[in-house]
Amino acid sequence: MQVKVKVFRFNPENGEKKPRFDEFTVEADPKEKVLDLLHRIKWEQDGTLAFRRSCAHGICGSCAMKINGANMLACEANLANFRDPTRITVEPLQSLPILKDLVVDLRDFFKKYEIVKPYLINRTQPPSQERLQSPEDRALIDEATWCILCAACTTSCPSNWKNPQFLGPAALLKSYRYCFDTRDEGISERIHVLDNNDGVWRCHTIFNCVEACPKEINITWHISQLKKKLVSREY
Amino acid sequence: LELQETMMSKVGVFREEKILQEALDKVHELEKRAENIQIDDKGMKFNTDLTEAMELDNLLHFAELIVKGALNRQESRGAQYRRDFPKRDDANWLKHTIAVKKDGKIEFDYKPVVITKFQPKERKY
Repeated sequence: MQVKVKVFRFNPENGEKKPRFDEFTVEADPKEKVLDLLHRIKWEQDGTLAFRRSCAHGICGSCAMKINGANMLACEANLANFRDPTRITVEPLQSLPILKDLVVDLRDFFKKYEIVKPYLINRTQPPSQERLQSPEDRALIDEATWCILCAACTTSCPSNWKNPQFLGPAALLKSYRYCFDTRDEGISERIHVLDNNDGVWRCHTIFNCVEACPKEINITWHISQLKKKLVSREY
Repeated sequence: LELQETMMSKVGVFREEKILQEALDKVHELEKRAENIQIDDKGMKFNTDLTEAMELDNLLHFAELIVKGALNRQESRGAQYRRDFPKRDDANWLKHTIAVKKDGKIEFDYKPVVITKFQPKERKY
């Protein structure tokens, strides 16, 4: 079937001041994904189209973008799942600086990630064997380990759009993964980053992140667990 | 895409000489066609057109290497099952192959396998 694809284009290197939408018509099967469309455009029509992609099967997180207004991975966006698969609009992730066409600058995203100290913190001596953890304890953090750092959640969060200093769902999820890991002892170091206006409290449970997450993680629930933990520590 | 399809269907786990030779011819044909590559994007920033072309060059080098190596090793071992040489041949082929591309031609060199704890035995299971 013929698909009309409207793609966001912007190349600051050419001295362009304003972005534009290019429209391409591509032949596609309804079983194919938006990433296939983008490749076809790049290889057959316009080689200057720039976008990130790597694994093409939903695990690396490189191809996160806004398709028909919703954040998702281009390699998981089945054409058949759209209400009108013959009209697709592709844009880069919202609120991040645009480097070229569909490529955004993820440095802020990763900086927030590093702020929450996403590593094990221990003050006691490491044991001579592995640190044991029961399956129940592991189940607490299981969902939080699925994050592939695609940035779909943080760029779909209206709180993040308005307050770019907000840590964002992905960083908070990672913080949960360490705060609730029974082997970690660093909660007192992580608390002050979480317990401020741009930490957990900027989350107003909008739930856009949960909708956008390609791994279907209930991020907002994890953030509210962090909120509960902060409150219970105070009182 | 053609390289992908050729390698997947002709140079997988189950290999045989005639089909490997077809694959090698295809790789050579693609290398010829790749000399005429044109790149649309003339920019210097995030030029994925250029990186994809450079990656293609690398892929072609490796493809030739893999197919030649498969043709060279006339036995079945591990993940290579040669339908025309279905048994493992320790007498001739218990060695590592080192491939070097000199002046566009691939040369094979060999290195003996270091055997420590486990002696190679026939696989029976």
